[in-house]
Amino acid sequence: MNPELQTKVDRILADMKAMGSIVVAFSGGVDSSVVAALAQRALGDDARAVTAVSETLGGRELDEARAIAAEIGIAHHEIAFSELSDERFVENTSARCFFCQTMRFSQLRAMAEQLGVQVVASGSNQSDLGDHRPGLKAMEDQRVYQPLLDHEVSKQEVRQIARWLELSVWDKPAKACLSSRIPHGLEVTHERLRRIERAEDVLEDLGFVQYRVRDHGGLARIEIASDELDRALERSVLERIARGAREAGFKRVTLDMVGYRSGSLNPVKRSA
Amino acid sequence: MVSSEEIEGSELERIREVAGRFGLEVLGASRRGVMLELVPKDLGALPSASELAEIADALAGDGVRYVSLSLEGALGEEG
Repeated sequence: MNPELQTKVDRILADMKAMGSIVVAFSGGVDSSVVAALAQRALGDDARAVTAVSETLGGRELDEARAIAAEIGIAHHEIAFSELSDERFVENTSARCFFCQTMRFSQLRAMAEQLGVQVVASGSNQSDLGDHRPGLKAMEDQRVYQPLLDHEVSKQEVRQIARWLELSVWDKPAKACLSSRIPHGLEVTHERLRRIERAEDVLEDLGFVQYRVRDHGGLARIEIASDELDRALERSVLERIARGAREAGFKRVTLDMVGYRSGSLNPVKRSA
Repeated sequence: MVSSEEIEGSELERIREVAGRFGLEVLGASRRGVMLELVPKDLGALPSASELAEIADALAGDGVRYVSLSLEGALGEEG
Protein backbone atom coordinates (compact mmCIF):
# COMPACT_ATOMS: atom_id res chain seq x y z
CA MET A 1 0.00 0.00 0.00
CA ASN A 2 1.42 3.40 -0.92
CA PRO A 3 2.34 5.86 1.89
CA GLU A 4 -0.49 8.27 1.06
CA LEU A 5 -3.10 5.52 1.37
CA GLN A 6 -1.42 4.15 4.49
CA THR A 7 -1.77 7.62 6.04
CA LYS A 8 -5.50 7.63 5.26
CA VAL A 9 -5.89 4.21 6.87
CA ASP A 10 -3.92 5.29 9.95
CA ARG A 11 -6.14 8.35 10.34
CA ILE A 12 -9.31 6.26 10.01
CA LEU A 13 -8.03 3.83 12.64
CA ALA A 14 -7.21 6.75 14.96
CA ASP A 15 -10.68 8.28 14.45
CA MET A 16 -12.31 4.94 15.20
CA LYS A 17 -10.27 4.38 18.35
CA ALA A 18 -11.35 7.80 19.62
CA MET A 19 -15.01 6.87 19.09
CA GLY A 20 -14.85 3.98 21.55
CA SER A 21 -17.44 1.77 19.86
CA ILE A 22 -18.98 1.52 16.39
CA VAL A 23 -21.82 -0.24 14.62
CA VAL A 24 -21.04 -0.77 10.94
CA ALA A 25 -23.87 -1.01 8.42
CA PHE A 26 -22.75 -4.23 6.81
CA SER A 27 -23.80 -5.69 3.46
CA GLY A 28 -20.80 -7.94 2.93
CA GLY A 29 -19.66 -5.91 -0.05
CA VAL A 30 -16.09 -4.69 -0.26
CA ASP A 31 -16.83 -1.17 1.07
CA SER A 32 -18.60 -2.14 4.28
CA SER A 33 -16.22 -5.08 4.73
CA VAL A 34 -13.24 -2.72 4.75
CA VAL A 35 -14.94 -0.41 7.27
CA ALA A 36 -15.90 -3.39 9.43
CA ALA A 37 -12.38 -4.85 9.30
CA LEU A 38 -10.80 -1.49 10.19
CA ALA A 39 -13.30 -1.02 13.02
CA GLN A 40 -12.48 -4.49 14.30
CA ARG A 41 -8.76 -3.67 14.21
CA ALA A 42 -9.29 -0.37 16.01
CA LEU A 43 -11.84 -1.45 18.57
CA GLY A 44 -11.88 -5.23 18.85
CA ASP A 45 -15.11 -6.41 20.49
CA ASP A 46 -16.44 -2.84 20.62
CA ALA A 47 -16.93 -2.96 16.85
CA ARG A 48 -20.04 -4.68 15.53
CA ALA A 49 -21.40 -5.32 12.07
CA VAL A 50 -25.14 -5.16 11.51
CA THR A 51 -26.86 -6.33 8.34
CA ALA A 52 -30.30 -4.91 7.62
CA VAL A 53 -32.25 -7.80 6.13
CA SER A 54 -35.05 -6.73 3.83
CA GLU A 55 -36.76 -7.63 0.56
CA THR A 56 -34.06 -5.95 -1.51
CA LEU A 57 -31.26 -8.15 -0.19
CA GLY A 58 -30.78 -11.41 -2.07
CA GLY A 59 -30.52 -14.62 -0.07
CA ARG A 60 -27.04 -15.36 -1.42
CA GLU A 61 -25.91 -11.86 -0.46
CA LEU A 62 -26.99 -12.47 3.13
CA ASP A 63 -25.11 -15.78 3.21
CA GLU A 64 -22.01 -14.00 1.91
CA ALA A 65 -22.37 -11.23 4.51
CA ARG A 66 -22.44 -13.83 7.28
CA ALA A 67 -19.38 -15.55 5.86
CA ILE A 68 -17.30 -12.38 5.48
CA ALA A 69 -18.23 -11.19 9.00
CA ALA A 70 -16.91 -14.51 10.31
CA GLU A 71 -13.77 -14.07 8.19
CA ILE A 72 -13.20 -10.59 9.66
CA GLY A 73 -13.91 -11.86 13.14
CA ILE A 74 -16.39 -9.13 13.96
CA ALA A 75 -19.60 -9.69 15.94
CA HIS A 76 -22.43 -9.85 13.42
CA HIS A 77 -26.07 -8.96 14.03
CA GLU A 78 -29.07 -8.91 11.72
CA ILE A 79 -32.16 -6.74 11.86
CA ALA A 80 -35.20 -7.30 9.70
CA PHE A 81 -37.20 -4.50 8.19
CA SER A 82 -39.48 -3.99 5.22
CA GLU A 83 -38.86 -1.32 2.62
CA LEU A 84 -42.09 -2.36 0.93
CA SER A 85 -44.03 -1.13 3.96
CA ASP A 86 -43.23 2.44 2.88
CA GLU A 87 -45.35 3.63 -0.04
CA ARG A 88 -42.77 6.27 -0.95
CA PHE A 89 -40.24 3.50 -1.55
CA VAL A 90 -42.70 1.30 -3.44
CA GLU A 91 -43.60 4.25 -5.67
CA ASN A 92 -40.03 4.15 -6.96
CA THR A 93 -39.32 7.75 -7.80
CA SER A 94 -35.74 8.95 -8.31
CA ALA A 95 -35.71 9.62 -4.52
CA ARG A 96 -36.28 5.91 -3.74
CA CYS A 97 -32.80 5.43 -2.22
CA PHE A 98 -33.36 8.37 0.10
CA PHE A 99 -36.43 6.74 1.67
CA CYS A 100 -34.74 3.34 1.79
CA GLN A 101 -31.59 4.58 3.48
CA THR A 102 -33.59 6.73 5.90
CA MET A 103 -35.49 3.61 7.01
CA ARG A 104 -32.36 1.46 7.05
CA PHE A 105 -30.28 3.82 9.14
CA SER A 106 -33.16 4.53 11.54
CA GLN A 107 -33.27 0.78 12.20
CA LEU A 108 -29.50 0.60 12.53
CA ARG A 109 -29.47 3.59 14.89
CA ALA A 110 -32.11 1.93 17.07
CA MET A 111 -30.06 -1.26 17.23
CA ALA A 112 -26.88 0.71 17.99
CA GLU A 113 -28.66 2.40 20.90
CA GLN A 114 -29.76 -0.98 22.23
CA LEU A 115 -26.11 -2.03 22.12
CA GLY A 116 -25.04 1.19 23.85
CA VAL A 117 -23.22 2.45 20.75
CA GLN A 118 -23.39 6.06 19.56
CA VAL A 119 -21.70 5.78 16.17
CA VAL A 120 -23.19 4.13 13.09
CA ALA A 121 -20.80 3.84 10.15
CA SER A 122 -21.28 3.15 6.45
CA GLY A 123 -18.98 2.15 3.60
CA SER A 124 -19.75 5.13 1.34
CA ASN A 125 -16.63 6.25 -0.46
CA GLN A 126 -15.36 9.07 -2.63
CA SER A 127 -16.32 7.35 -5.89
CA ASP A 128 -19.98 7.31 -4.82
CA LEU A 129 -20.13 11.09 -5.13
CA GLY A 130 -20.10 11.13 -8.91
CA ASP A 131 -23.27 9.06 -9.32
CA HIS A 132 -26.97 9.60 -8.63
CA ARG A 133 -27.00 8.68 -4.92
CA PRO A 134 -29.87 10.27 -2.96
CA GLY A 135 -29.07 7.70 -0.24
CA LEU A 136 -26.01 9.76 0.68
CA LYS A 137 -28.27 12.67 1.63
CA ALA A 138 -30.23 10.34 3.93
CA MET A 139 -26.99 9.25 5.62
CA GLU A 140 -25.92 12.85 6.05
CA ASP A 141 -29.30 13.66 7.64
CA GLN A 142 -28.89 10.68 9.97
CA ARG A 143 -25.35 11.76 10.95
CA VAL A 144 -23.84 8.50 9.74
CA TYR A 145 -20.06 8.26 10.14
CA GLN A 146 -18.54 7.73 6.68
CA PRO A 147 -14.81 7.17 7.20
CA LEU A 148 -13.98 6.36 3.58
CA LEU A 149 -15.74 9.47 2.40
CA ASP A 150 -14.28 11.65 5.16
CA HIS A 151 -10.76 10.63 4.15
CA GLU A 152 -11.41 10.77 0.40
CA VAL A 153 -10.82 7.07 -0.19
CA SER A 154 -11.80 6.09 -3.74
CA LYS A 155 -13.30 2.74 -4.76
CA GLN A 156 -9.96 1.67 -6.22
CA GLU A 157 -8.28 2.52 -2.92
CA VAL A 158 -10.97 0.62 -1.01
CA ARG A 159 -9.97 -2.48 -2.99
CA GLN A 160 -6.28 -1.83 -2.23
CA ILE A 161 -7.06 -1.59 1.48
CA ALA A 162 -9.12 -4.78 1.25
CA ARG A 163 -6.15 -6.60 -0.31
CA TRP A 164 -3.87 -5.23 2.40
CA LEU A 165 -6.34 -6.53 4.99
CA GLU A 166 -6.36 -9.87 3.12
CA LEU A 167 -10.13 -9.80 2.73
CA SER A 168 -11.47 -12.41 0.31
CA VAL A 169 -13.96 -9.86 -1.04
CA TRP A 170 -11.27 -7.46 -2.25
CA ASP A 171 -12.35 -7.97 -5.89
CA LYS A 172 -16.03 -8.69 -5.29
CA PRO A 173 -18.10 -6.84 -7.89
CA ALA A 174 -20.54 -4.21 -6.70
CA LYS A 175 -24.05 -5.64 -6.48
CA ALA A 176 -26.28 -2.76 -5.30
CA CYS A 177 -29.75 -3.38 -3.96
CA LEU A 178 -32.18 -5.36 -6.08
CA SER A 179 -34.59 -2.44 -6.44
CA SER A 180 -31.96 -0.67 -8.56
CA ARG A 181 -32.95 -3.06 -11.39
CA ILE A 182 -36.44 -1.57 -11.63
CA PRO A 183 -36.82 1.65 -13.65
CA HIS A 184 -38.14 4.66 -11.76
CA GLY A 185 -41.90 4.94 -12.15
CA LEU A 186 -42.50 1.18 -12.00
CA GLU A 187 -43.50 0.05 -8.54
CA VAL A 188 -41.07 -2.01 -6.50
CA THR A 189 -42.92 -5.21 -5.60
CA HIS A 190 -42.02 -8.45 -3.91
CA GLU A 191 -42.75 -10.37 -7.13
CA ARG A 192 -40.40 -8.19 -9.18
CA LEU A 193 -37.60 -8.37 -6.63
CA ARG A 194 -37.78 -12.14 -6.37
CA ARG A 195 -37.79 -12.77 -10.13
CA ILE A 196 -34.78 -10.45 -10.49
CA GLU A 197 -33.01 -12.36 -7.73
CA ARG A 198 -33.81 -15.74 -9.31
CA ALA A 199 -32.69 -14.62 -12.78
CA GLU A 200 -29.43 -13.16 -11.42
CA ASP A 201 -28.77 -16.41 -9.58
CA VAL A 202 -28.96 -18.13 -12.99
CA LEU A 203 -26.28 -15.79 -14.35
CA GLU A 204 -24.09 -16.39 -11.31
CA ASP A 205 -24.49 -20.15 -11.72
CA LEU A 206 -23.35 -19.77 -15.34
CA GLY A 207 -20.13 -18.23 -14.05
CA PHE A 208 -20.76 -14.59 -14.93
CA VAL A 209 -19.25 -12.05 -12.56
CA GLN A 210 -20.69 -8.64 -13.39
CA TYR A 211 -24.31 -8.47 -14.52
CA ARG A 212 -27.73 -6.98 -13.86
CA VAL A 213 -31.22 -8.18 -14.77
CA ARG A 214 -33.20 -5.01 -15.39
CA ASP A 215 -36.93 -5.51 -14.96
CA HIS A 216 -38.98 -3.48 -17.43
CA GLY A 217 -42.34 -4.67 -16.12
CA GLY A 218 -41.99 -8.36 -16.94
CA LEU A 219 -39.45 -7.89 -19.71
CA ALA A 220 -35.91 -8.78 -18.63
CA ARG A 221 -33.15 -6.68 -20.15
CA ILE A 222 -30.02 -8.52 -19.16
CA GLU A 223 -26.76 -6.62 -18.91
CA ILE A 224 -23.53 -8.63 -18.80
CA ALA A 225 -20.10 -6.99 -18.53
CA SER A 226 -18.61 -6.29 -21.95
CA ASP A 227 -15.54 -8.45 -21.25
CA GLU A 228 -17.82 -11.41 -20.48
CA LEU A 229 -20.37 -10.81 -23.20
CA ASP A 230 -18.74 -12.89 -25.94
CA ARG A 231 -19.15 -15.99 -23.80
CA ALA A 232 -22.82 -15.15 -23.28
CA LEU A 233 -23.30 -15.03 -27.05
CA GLU A 234 -22.73 -18.76 -27.45
CA ARG A 235 -26.03 -20.30 -28.51
CA SER A 236 -26.11 -22.84 -25.66
CA VAL A 237 -25.44 -20.12 -23.08
CA LEU A 238 -28.14 -17.87 -24.55
CA GLU A 239 -30.61 -20.73 -24.27
CA ARG A 240 -29.79 -21.28 -20.62
CA ILE A 241 -30.08 -17.56 -19.89
CA ALA A 242 -33.41 -17.27 -21.70
CA ARG A 243 -34.87 -20.36 -20.08
CA GLY A 244 -33.59 -19.38 -16.64
CA ALA A 245 -35.07 -15.89 -16.85
CA ARG A 246 -38.40 -17.29 -18.03
CA GLU A 247 -38.45 -19.78 -15.18
CA ALA A 248 -37.60 -16.93 -12.81
CA GLY A 249 -40.89 -15.32 -13.83
CA PHE A 250 -40.12 -12.98 -16.74
CA LYS A 251 -42.53 -12.96 -19.67
CA ARG A 252 -39.95 -11.84 -22.22
CA VAL A 253 -36.16 -11.97 -22.20
CA THR A 254 -33.68 -9.72 -23.97
CA LEU A 255 -29.93 -9.21 -23.86
CA ASP A 256 -28.60 -5.65 -23.74
CA MET A 257 -26.22 -5.15 -26.69
CA VAL A 258 -23.91 -2.74 -24.85
CA GLY A 259 -23.62 -4.82 -21.72
CA TYR A 260 -23.40 -3.96 -18.05
CA ARG A 261 -23.00 -0.37 -16.97
CA SER A 262 -23.50 0.88 -13.45
CA GLY A 263 -26.63 2.94 -12.90
CA SER A 264 -28.01 2.44 -16.39
CA LEU A 265 -31.53 3.11 -15.07
CA ASN A 266 -30.58 6.31 -13.28
CA PRO A 267 -32.02 9.58 -14.54
CA VAL A 268 -30.09 10.89 -17.53
CA LYS A 269 -27.90 13.86 -16.59
CA ARG A 270 -28.60 16.79 -18.87
CA SER A 271 -25.59 18.77 -19.94
CA ALA A 272 -25.82 22.51 -19.22
CA MET B 1 -44.77 -4.54 -19.56
CA VAL B 2 -44.64 -1.47 -21.79
CA SER B 3 -46.65 -2.10 -24.94
CA SER B 4 -44.71 -3.01 -28.02
CA GLU B 5 -44.77 -1.12 -31.30
CA GLU B 6 -43.59 -3.08 -34.32
CA ILE B 7 -41.21 -1.22 -36.61
CA GLU B 8 -41.85 -1.52 -40.33
CA GLY B 9 -41.04 -0.01 -43.67
CA SER B 10 -38.08 2.30 -44.19
CA GLU B 11 -37.22 2.45 -40.50
CA LEU B 12 -36.89 -1.34 -40.36
CA GLU B 13 -34.78 -1.27 -43.51
CA ARG B 14 -32.46 1.29 -41.94
CA ILE B 15 -32.08 -0.87 -38.82
CA ARG B 16 -31.34 -3.93 -40.98
CA GLU B 17 -28.77 -1.98 -42.95
CA VAL B 18 -26.99 -0.70 -39.83
CA ALA B 19 -27.04 -4.11 -38.12
CA GLY B 20 -25.98 -5.86 -41.32
CA ARG B 21 -22.92 -3.65 -41.61
CA PHE B 22 -21.66 -5.28 -38.40
CA GLY B 23 -22.75 -8.81 -39.25
CA LEU B 24 -26.13 -9.03 -37.55
CA GLU B 25 -29.06 -10.22 -39.64
CA VAL B 26 -32.29 -8.78 -38.24
CA LEU B 27 -35.69 -10.39 -38.78
CA GLY B 28 -37.75 -7.71 -37.07
CA ALA B 29 -37.64 -4.89 -34.57
CA SER B 30 -39.95 -3.25 -32.08
CA ARG B 31 -40.02 -0.26 -29.77
CA ARG B 32 -41.01 -0.57 -26.10
CA GLY B 33 -40.76 2.87 -24.60
CA VAL B 34 -37.09 3.80 -24.58
CA MET B 35 -36.03 0.29 -25.60
CA LEU B 36 -35.37 -0.93 -29.13
CA GLU B 37 -35.61 -4.70 -29.36
CA LEU B 38 -34.06 -6.48 -32.31
CA VAL B 39 -35.04 -10.01 -33.32
CA PRO B 40 -31.97 -11.74 -34.78
CA LYS B 41 -32.41 -14.14 -37.66
CA ASP B 42 -30.08 -16.70 -36.12
CA LEU B 43 -29.00 -16.64 -32.48
CA GLY B 44 -26.32 -19.14 -33.40
CA ALA B 45 -24.62 -16.70 -35.76
CA LEU B 46 -24.28 -13.48 -33.82
CA PRO B 47 -21.42 -11.03 -34.32
CA SER B 48 -19.00 -10.30 -31.48
CA ALA B 49 -19.86 -8.30 -28.38
CA SER B 50 -17.89 -5.32 -29.66
CA GLU B 51 -19.82 -5.37 -32.94
CA LEU B 52 -23.14 -5.57 -31.08
CA ALA B 53 -22.09 -2.54 -29.05
CA GLU B 54 -21.29 -0.67 -32.29
CA ILE B 55 -24.77 -1.46 -33.61
CA ALA B 56 -26.37 -0.32 -30.34
CA ASP B 57 -24.38 2.88 -30.44
CA ALA B 58 -25.47 3.56 -34.03
CA LEU B 59 -29.16 2.92 -33.26
CA ALA B 60 -29.39 4.74 -29.90
CA GLY B 61 -30.64 8.29 -29.58
CA ASP B 62 -33.91 9.77 -30.86
CA GLY B 63 -35.77 8.43 -27.82
CA VAL B 64 -33.92 5.09 -27.78
CA ARG B 65 -31.85 4.55 -24.60
CA TYR B 66 -31.38 0.78 -24.70
CA VAL B 67 -30.86 -1.56 -27.65
CA SER B 68 -31.47 -5.22 -26.89
CA LEU B 69 -31.51 -8.56 -28.62
CA SER B 70 -34.60 -10.69 -28.23
CA LEU B 71 -33.76 -14.09 -26.78
CA GLU B 72 -37.20 -15.52 -27.47
CA GLY B 73 -35.68 -17.44 -30.38
CA ALA B 74 -33.57 -19.38 -27.91
CA LEU B 75 -36.81 -20.79 -26.52
CA GLY B 76 -37.91 -22.06 -29.92
CA GLU B 77 -40.66 -19.48 -30.32
CA GLU B 78 -39.05 -17.24 -32.91
CA GLY B 79 -36.20 -17.13 -35.32
